[in-house]
Amino acid sequence: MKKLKSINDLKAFRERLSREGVLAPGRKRIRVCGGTACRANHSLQLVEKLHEEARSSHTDVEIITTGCQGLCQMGPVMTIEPQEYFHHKVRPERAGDIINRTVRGEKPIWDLLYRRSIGQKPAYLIKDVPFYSKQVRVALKNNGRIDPTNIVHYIAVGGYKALEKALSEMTPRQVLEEVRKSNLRGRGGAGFPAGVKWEHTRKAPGAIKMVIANGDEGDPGAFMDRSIMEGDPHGLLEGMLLCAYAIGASHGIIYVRHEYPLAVKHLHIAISQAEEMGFLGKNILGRGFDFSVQIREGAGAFVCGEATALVASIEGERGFPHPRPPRVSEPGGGPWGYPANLNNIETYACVPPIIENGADWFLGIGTETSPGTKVFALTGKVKNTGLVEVPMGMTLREIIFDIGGGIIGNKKFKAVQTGGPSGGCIPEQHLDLPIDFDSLSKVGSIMGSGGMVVMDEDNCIVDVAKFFLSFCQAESCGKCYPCRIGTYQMLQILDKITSGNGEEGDIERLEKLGQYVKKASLCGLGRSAPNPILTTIKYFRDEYEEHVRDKYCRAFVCQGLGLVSLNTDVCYQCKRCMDICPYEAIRESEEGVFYVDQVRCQRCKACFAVCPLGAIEIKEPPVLVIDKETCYFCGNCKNVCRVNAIKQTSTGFMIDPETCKRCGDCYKVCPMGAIRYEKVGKVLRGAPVEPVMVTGEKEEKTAEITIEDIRKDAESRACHVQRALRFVEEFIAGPMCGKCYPCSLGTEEAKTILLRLSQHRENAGEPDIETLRRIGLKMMEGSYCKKGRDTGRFIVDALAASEEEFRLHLLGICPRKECVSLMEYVINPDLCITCGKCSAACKYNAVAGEIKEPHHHGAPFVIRQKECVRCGECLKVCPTGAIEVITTVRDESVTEEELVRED
Amino acid sequence: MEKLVKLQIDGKEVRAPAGMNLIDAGHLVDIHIPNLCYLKGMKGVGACRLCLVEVEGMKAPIIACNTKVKEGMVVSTQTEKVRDIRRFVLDLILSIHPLDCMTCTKASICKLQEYAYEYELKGTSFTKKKMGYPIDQINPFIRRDPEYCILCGRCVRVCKEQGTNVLDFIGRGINAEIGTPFHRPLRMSGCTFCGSCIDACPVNALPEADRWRKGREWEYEKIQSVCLLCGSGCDTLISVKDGGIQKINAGERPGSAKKYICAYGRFGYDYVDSESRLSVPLKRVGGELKETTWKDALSIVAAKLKEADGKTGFISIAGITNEDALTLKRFARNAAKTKHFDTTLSLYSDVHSFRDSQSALITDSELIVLVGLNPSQWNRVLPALDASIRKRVNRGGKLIVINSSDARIAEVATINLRGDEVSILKSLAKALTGKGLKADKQLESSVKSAEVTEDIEKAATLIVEAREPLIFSSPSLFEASANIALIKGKVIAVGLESNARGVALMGLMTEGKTYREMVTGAMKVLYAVGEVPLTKRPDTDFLIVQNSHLTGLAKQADIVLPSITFFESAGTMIDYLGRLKQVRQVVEPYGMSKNHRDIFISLSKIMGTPVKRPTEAEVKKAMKVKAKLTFSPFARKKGFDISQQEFIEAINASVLQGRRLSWLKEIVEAVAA
Repeated sequence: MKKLKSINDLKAFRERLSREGVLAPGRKRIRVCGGTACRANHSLQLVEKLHEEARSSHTDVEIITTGCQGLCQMGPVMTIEPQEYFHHKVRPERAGDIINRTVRGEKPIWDLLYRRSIGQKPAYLIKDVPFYSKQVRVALKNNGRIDPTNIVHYIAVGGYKALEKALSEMTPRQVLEEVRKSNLRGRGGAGFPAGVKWEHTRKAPGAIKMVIANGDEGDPGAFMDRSIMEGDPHGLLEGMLLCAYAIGASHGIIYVRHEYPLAVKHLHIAISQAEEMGFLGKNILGRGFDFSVQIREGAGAFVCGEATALVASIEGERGFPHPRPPRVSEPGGGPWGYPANLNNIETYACVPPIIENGADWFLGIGTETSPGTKVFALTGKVKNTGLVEVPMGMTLREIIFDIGGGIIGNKKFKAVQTGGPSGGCIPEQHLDLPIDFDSLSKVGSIMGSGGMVVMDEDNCIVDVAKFFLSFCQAESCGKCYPCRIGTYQMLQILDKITSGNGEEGDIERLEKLGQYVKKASLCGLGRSAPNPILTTIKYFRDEYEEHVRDKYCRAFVCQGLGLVSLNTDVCYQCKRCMDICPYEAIRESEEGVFYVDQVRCQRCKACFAVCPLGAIEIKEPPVLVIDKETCYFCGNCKNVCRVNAIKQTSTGFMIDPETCKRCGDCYKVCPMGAIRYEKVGKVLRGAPVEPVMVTGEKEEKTAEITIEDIRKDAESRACHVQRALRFVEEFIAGPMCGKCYPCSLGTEEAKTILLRLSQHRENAGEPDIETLRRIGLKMMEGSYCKKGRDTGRFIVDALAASEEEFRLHLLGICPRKECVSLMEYVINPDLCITCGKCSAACKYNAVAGEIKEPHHHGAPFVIRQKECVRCGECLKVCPTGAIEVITTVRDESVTEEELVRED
Repeated sequence: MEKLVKLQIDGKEVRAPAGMNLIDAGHLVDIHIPNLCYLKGMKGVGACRLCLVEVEGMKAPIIACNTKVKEGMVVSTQTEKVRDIRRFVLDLILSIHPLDCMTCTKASICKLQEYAYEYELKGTSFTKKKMGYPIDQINPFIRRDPEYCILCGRCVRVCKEQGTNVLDFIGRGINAEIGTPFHRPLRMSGCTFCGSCIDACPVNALPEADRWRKGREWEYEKIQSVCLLCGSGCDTLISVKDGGIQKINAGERPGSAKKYICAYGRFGYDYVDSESRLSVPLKRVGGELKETTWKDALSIVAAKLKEADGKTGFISIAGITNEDALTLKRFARNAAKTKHFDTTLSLYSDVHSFRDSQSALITDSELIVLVGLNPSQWNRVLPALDASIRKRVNRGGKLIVINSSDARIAEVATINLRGDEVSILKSLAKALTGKGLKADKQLESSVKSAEVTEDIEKAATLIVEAREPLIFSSPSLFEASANIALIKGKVIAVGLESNARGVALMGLMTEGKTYREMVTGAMKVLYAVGEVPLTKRPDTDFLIVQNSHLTGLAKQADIVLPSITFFESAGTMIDYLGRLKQVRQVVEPYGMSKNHRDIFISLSKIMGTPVKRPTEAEVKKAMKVKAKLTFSPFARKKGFDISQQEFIEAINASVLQGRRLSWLKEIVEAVAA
């Protein structure tokens, strides 16, 4: 390519292009979308195939791979000229059809045409597609029209005309005035007028100034800047050139995310082409204006989109924001201290049309305070997701329902989240809001970079808020405390709420915290991070309250929220719950009691509201697990499960906690008692529990107890650990006055240790015995009165009497078989006659088995150790003495005996 | 004079210099604005959000650390609004901080503790979180416990600004932490253990490794003194308890980044009572050194000195106080009646360099020129000079390095002129005269033949533009450097020993034989004062060593007189910048050891020609030398080429044998290997 050395050179080049008919209308041409989304759907293979087919059929057709055309959901998309047919979802194997039917036969392919719905007539032409027909393209004007890697295309569609105009007819001052007059507001988020910013930088002292384009698009779901960089890089360069000319800068930097490889590649190509043609470099177009552009790739931190953090990142430092002043536009604020003008990619892309067509043209689009257009990345539960550019002042309804085509599955619209993680959620009542910078901030949201996430009734608003906040928390740079720890603490509360542990006052706490974080944070990230929470609380407070008070998530998203259950002790079977339940989930069991069928229950809590007694309780959901050691793979549980939550794996059966509804059917059906409740749900909301009254009677009784009584009572036990424990417990409950520390604190610690020993807890160990001895000895020496000293002596005596016994407890053996936690009751299958008496006697439902007649033909009964509390009732009723007491951990002598018996 | 600005803080009228920030302005009238991340002398970063204050006419509270005073400003630091935000921020910090104030080393000087008390926070109202970071404590100097860290970033900033650059922020969000490259322990991450981070840390995240249970902060007596271990002569703040040194900090109040001391100065103090420390005089009896009394030892020395009749040589280090130097000179002249006295100074310099050096402050200089100097924190050659120059450069100062070898400091230089210093200085002088600066005729004619390269041209431009360039020169290049200062700027010779300049000004300079001659030539009696860098006994009839430790040389002496270390005696010294500094006595002399000057005075009494104790006025009088620079030909002085690092290690051999510093030496060698 020849270098253009003057304005006339450029004009001549442009004339030559139009003479040659480059991109002239009326020709046979296919424009295939080469945006990232379409590429992911094989649009490049499609282009290859098209070339192949065209070659083999000798068809004269121009095939252009353009930047993103917008309708990403339907990709790969293409337009076929001259008719401007629009085809979507074109797979590479349809290339032959396209060439033969559409290009040669000039007929569209029926099944590749866009339809709103199946019953409706398809749209033939791109202008009939509602997604495109309502859009006005300024920043995206070349996206979808030209090949972004070809500067000739850009010039052919009128590129660098604005530069030509500025350099030949306008002074820098005039360019700035034009931008200022157009009231172009920064598209990056805050909407600060670009002209004012340029003026700042222009006025800043210093010979070296910079123009920085912020392409660090970090919002989840936003991709307009990427699309501009990928699809129209020269548009960005021209905007930067105009800015540089206006403010007197000679260096440009494009800060772009490393995660945008295609954008980086296209920008590199564009820069080298522009340098080759003489649009960048020294003495541009012979007008004595120098400007060069460099690319800086960011490492992908959200905070680097913040101006001061971006500057730090450009310098190669950690992306930390710094307090302003100095602003980026002031000396000391920009990279390496040079003043710089920093704008968003989209802002720069709007500049060339403004200069070319004049500020008045721009002011004619959009609203009074926010002229022009805005690109939105429309995502979420909307039919047509993609990139849309609309004039400011269009209502949300038009964008979502006309351009976006409405909600997927025609569900109910719930909210739309604008402005990325720093923005807010806008509810249905504001759907007719004409959107511009000011109206959005009025309803608590922001324009942001233009992310627009649509949510329907299946989205839980608390969950959505949690998602955005967790993003901000993870991306917080960690410099200032309100943002780093404040968002973390907010997240903790949200976690609590969504897992069903929300408490009264949590919402208020969230609001208060949010306000503080907003007020106290250093940079924009922290100041806007609570926005999603605050706006959702503002508009969807009832949903939050449902989560907290009723443990209910109406979207059924938040797993782990409460379980509705019926307390049969309270219920008097008025059947009101049954009548109100729309799912027929309240059932009557064979025994004649009511229960909630968890599979049918949708947790609407209608029964909870209607019950006059509070018999319906909201419980913490229990977890059901299968004990693999007990299970013998009969498969009954799998057969009985109505939601297919029980899966057969190579290691046995397991319950999928996500699918399981906690109905308990499997628990009931398991013959071995292998299924158990891991966590028995505590009642979160239910009938008010009466506080337990402490009767005066007991106090009187305890007052009379003397040490001698306690000693007698304790010595009635055989096990020395139990003796000591009994003594200490009685002492604490009775005569201890609590005056001196050895006694009051020592006995408490002794009790803890003794309990630990008698229950063989995990943390019990050798040091415990030493500590116990130390406590006893020190109490003997240091206690104030005789009572304390006696208690100490009792502990020491117990230890002296049989230290070996204490040590055995550490191994889990109670030689005297008194510590119930160390005991197990087992049924000797040889002696069991399956009479079922033990099962009937057990209050804890711990004995499993079926009664069979005659007795000795059935499988023997089994005791479920998890349920068994060793109360001894079964021992009393067993007619054959089949129930044996054994220690959990058997010592070797027992094993030997067993061996002998087996022999 | 700086312009004064009038403003009001909490109702008090304040007149503050323009450009000062609100926190410092508050201090002028004793109003403390709470802050955790602000370091006096550094730019505010606004991370902690505690210094938020309300200013009349502004909508939202603003941070005081980054706001400059303005005429007529009305500031309120204690409104309910900002107190509320501070309480919130502190509450958040407490939620991830171990609240063990009862055993915490930093209790009573911890800023977090102070503010929690002030803002009535007994704990946190949020979920408590423990991060579970490992503690880095495999070095005997610094214990890094990230669990306490509040991420104020002070340590990062001081470390970065002084050029050590070991610590930085890692990670994002709640998992952000301060760490070393690749999470290596400090000893493997290039840390020089200067401990600047210890001084900067407002909480207990970076205390001295062995600080715990060495006394609470309020029990210490804090004494401002000077370190005499190398040519930097740094200010120190020594904490003393129970007659022992407990810790040493840089000589500035906590929360300021102005001063720097190196690992020697901060951690080397345990040599005071190390194994080789001398407590009683020793004399050689039958080839072995035996303990004796002072009376006996002094009478032997007196007799020997008389007997030698003027053929006595006195050699001393230049790391002694001015008072000691004056007494030594008088004693040698009047009592021992000899003119053979000299110091180690003559190994690397002549005396004129120091006498003619000018006075200046690094913090004020726009441009620093380093000639033939190779300061390095890593080799501990003038580490404080290295750190202060790097700090100055990081705050916008310019630096020109002129050196014939690779100087590490050149990495931060604006212009690095590598090559023969003398010819570069010549060319520089020519370039300067070419830029219209006036110069001596002789000077101008002597540089006519010099070549001026592009870099030298640039350097000359910098010198012309700077207000008052400061030239630091190695003593052997002093005259050549002074020629530049004759055209513009100030010149200062930087010695390797702390009181080199003081000793020179006190006149303890070569009169008879030089140090080298006395060490090699046969003196009848040789009297060595301080830790002279000798390992072999010089050829002499009788060797007297007067030192604090039993060094290799002392073991070969005929008489060993135990002297004090600089912690045990008071005096004055003059640092390389020309400032008179007070060295204070912080602990009692070890055993029976005595002050250098007391020993000389006692000796003189025994010898019958009493020597007067020097007074403060005499020191000040001796100091008053009007430096007058004159032209002398561009040349490098001969005979002063010694290895700087080896020399500094030799004069500090006893210090380096201390428990902790010997570890450091091993580690440096291990890492280098």
